[in-house]
Amino acid sequence: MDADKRQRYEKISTELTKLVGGRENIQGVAHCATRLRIVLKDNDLADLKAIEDVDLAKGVFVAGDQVQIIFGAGLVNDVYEVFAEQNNMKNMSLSDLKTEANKKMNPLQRIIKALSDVFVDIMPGILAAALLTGLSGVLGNLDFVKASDTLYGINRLINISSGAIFGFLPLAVAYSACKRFGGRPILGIVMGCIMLSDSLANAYSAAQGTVEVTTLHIFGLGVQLVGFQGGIIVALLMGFVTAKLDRFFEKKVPEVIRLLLSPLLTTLVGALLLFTVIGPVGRGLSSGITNALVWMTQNLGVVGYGVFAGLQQLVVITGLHHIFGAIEAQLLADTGRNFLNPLMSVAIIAQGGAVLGYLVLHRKNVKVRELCVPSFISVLFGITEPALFGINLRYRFPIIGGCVGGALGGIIVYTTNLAAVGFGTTVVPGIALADPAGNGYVNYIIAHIIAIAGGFFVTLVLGRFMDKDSAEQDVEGKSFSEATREEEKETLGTKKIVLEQVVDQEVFFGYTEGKQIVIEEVKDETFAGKVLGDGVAVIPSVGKVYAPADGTIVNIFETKHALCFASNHGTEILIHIGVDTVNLKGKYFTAHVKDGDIVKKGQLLITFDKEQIEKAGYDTTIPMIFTDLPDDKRLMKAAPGPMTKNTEIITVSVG
Amino acid sequence: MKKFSYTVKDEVGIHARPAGLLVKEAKKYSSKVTIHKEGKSADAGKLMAVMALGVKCGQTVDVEIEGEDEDTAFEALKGFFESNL
Repeated sequence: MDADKRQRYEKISTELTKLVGGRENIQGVAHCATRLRIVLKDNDLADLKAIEDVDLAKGVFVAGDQVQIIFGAGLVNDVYEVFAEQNNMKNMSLSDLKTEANKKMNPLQRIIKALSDVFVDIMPGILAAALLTGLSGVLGNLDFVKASDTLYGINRLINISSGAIFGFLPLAVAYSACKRFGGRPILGIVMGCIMLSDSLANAYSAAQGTVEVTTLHIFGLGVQLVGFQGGIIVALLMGFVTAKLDRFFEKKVPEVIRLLLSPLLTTLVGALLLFTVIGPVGRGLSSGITNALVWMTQNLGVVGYGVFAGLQQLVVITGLHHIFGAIEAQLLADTGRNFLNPLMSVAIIAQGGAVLGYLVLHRKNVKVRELCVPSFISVLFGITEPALFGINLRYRFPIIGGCVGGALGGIIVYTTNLAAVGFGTTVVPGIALADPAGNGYVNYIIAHIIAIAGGFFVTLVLGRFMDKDSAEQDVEGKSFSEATREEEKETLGTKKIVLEQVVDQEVFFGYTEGKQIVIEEVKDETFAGKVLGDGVAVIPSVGKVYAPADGTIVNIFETKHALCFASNHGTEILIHIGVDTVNLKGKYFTAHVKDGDIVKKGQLLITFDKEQIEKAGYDTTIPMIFTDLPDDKRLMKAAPGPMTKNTEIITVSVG
Repeated sequence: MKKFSYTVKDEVGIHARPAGLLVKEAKKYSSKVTIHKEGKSADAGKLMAVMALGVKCGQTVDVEIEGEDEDTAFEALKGFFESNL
C-alpha cells in the first residue's frame, strides 16, 4: 500500500467510523472476499444511505447485527487493515464475529440452539438405534420368531445393537457437546466413558434396586457410585464443562508440559465435578420432576393425568425417564394395573403428531422430509429421541404441540380408565400390554388417535404464528436467501443496495448436470484429500457450469478452468473443472462472466468442450470446494446421485 | 518482519493445488504471512485470496512474514516456494 492509497483509505475509514455510529458502536470488524463486515451494538445508528456514498464503497447492506460494505476483492483487505488499525480492533476472524453475533441471542435461544447442534451431529446413530429398537420390539412379540432359534438369535443381536447406543448415549452426547463447545472431542469421549464406567452401578439396575450402590465420603460429602446411563442433561453439561476446562488448561499450562498435564487436569477436574456437583444436581432435578408428575396422577385426577402426559416427554429430554420404569414395576406389583404406560404412550405418539404437523408445513423441503419420516416411524415404536431432538425441540413450536396433544390423550386415558398389565413397550407394540377389561384395546386406539391428532393440529396452528421459516421454504426451488431478500439495483451507477436477513442455513444447488459423487472419489489427491477444503464433485454429462447460488464471481482463473465464487452470505467456494486441466491453458474453455460480476443462481458461468478435453486425456470431474469454511459452519451434503440445476446438493448451516 | 522475493517458475503459476499447499504451509505458523504482487496483496492463510492474485509463471511475488515465529516461518516458506513453485 503506498502513501497516497493509504491516505485515501484512512479517509474512508474515518468517514465509515463516523457513519456507523462512532467507535463506541463498533463491536468488531472482519472481512470476507469482497466485504468489510462490521458488527454494531445498535444498527439503527448507522446511516446506510450515507455509507453507500463513501469513496470506493460499491454497496452496503445489513445482515443481522452486521453492516456489510462491499469493496471488492483485494481492495477490501487494505481498507480492512486501515479500518481495524484506526479503531484498535483486534484481528478477528469471521467466526469470532459470528460469536459476537450469537451473543445477541437470548440465553434460552442459545441453549436450544446449542442443544440441537449437539444432537444433529449424533442423529444418524440415534435414528439407527431407534428404528432397530422398534424392529426388535415387534419381532420379539411374534410367535414364529420365538419358535425359531435362528430368528430368535437374529432378533437378540438386533436388540443388543439397538440397546447399546441408548445405553451409551451419554458418551455420544458428551463427545458431541465437547466438540460443539470447542474442546477436543476425545476428551468428551473420555468423560462419557467415566460416566458409564463399569465400576459404577448401572443406573437402570440401581433405580430398580437390583444392585447395591456404594457410597464414598469425600470431605463429608456422600458420593454415590452410580453410572449415568440415560443421563443426557448431565452428559450435555459435562461436555460443556470438559470443553471449557480443556481450553482453559491448554491456555494456562506451559507448552513443555502441556501434553503431559493439560488432558490430565481436564479429566481429573471434570470427573470431580461430575460426581460431586453436576451429577447429583442433574439427578435431583429430574427425579424431582418425575416424582412430582407421579404424585399428580395419584392425587389430582384428570388434571394430574393431563399434566403428566403433557410433560412426560420433557422428562425424556432430561434423560432420566428410566425412573418411570421402576415406578411402573412398583405399580404392577401393588395393584396389577399400570396406568403410567398408556399415559406415556399417548405422550409419545403426540410428539409424532407434532412431527407430522411440522412435515406438512415444510413438505417441500427435502431435508425436513428426510428427518421427519424416520423420526415418525421410530415414534410408532415408542422411541421419541429423534423426533424430540431432531425436530420438535429444534424448531421449538412443535414441542408445544406435542405436549398439548399428550395432555389431551392423557385426559382420554383417565376418562376411559385405561391401564396396562405390563411395561416396557408403548404405542404400536404397546397395545399388546393394554388391559382388555372395559374395551381396553379400543380405548387404547382412541386415546392414541386423539393424542396424535392433537399434536398434529396444534403444531399446524402454532406454525402459522411461530414458524418463521415456513413462508420462505414454501417457495420451491429457491434458496432461502433468495426468498428473503429484496434487491434493488440502480441502473446507472455501480452502487447497489441489498437488504438481507441472516438465515440459519444456506443452500447450494447443482452447478452442472451429471452424476454427483463424494469428494473422496475424485481421482486427484488434492481434492480427494480435502487439501483445499471439503465439498462435493460431479461427473458432468454436459459442458456447462452454473452458479450454485446467488453471489459474486471473486475470480476466474486466466485458464478459465476454475473460478472462485462468494455467495451473498459470504460463503466462499472454488469450482474446478477437471483434473490437471490447468495444463490446457484455457483451450476448450469459455467464460461467460468476469471477475466481480454479480450472478444469479443457475446463471451460466463457464462452458467447456467436454469431448475434446476428454480426448486430450483429461478427467472432467468437477469438484466444488468450500475453501474457507469457518469452524462454526458445517456442510450437509446430499447423497450421491443425479444432479441437475435444481438439485439441492449442499446445505451450509450456521452454528 | 522478514521478507523475501520469489519469481514463480512453475509454468502454470500459483493455481489451485499449489495455492492449497501454500495456504496449508502458511497456516502452520502463527506469523501473519502476506503475499504481494503488483500492488495487490493477499493473506497467505486464505486460499481464495491467494488464488485471486492470479500469480503466473515468471511473475515475482514479495512474501512478508510478521509475528513470533517469523524466523522459522521464513525459512520454511522460502524452502516451500523454491521446491514447489
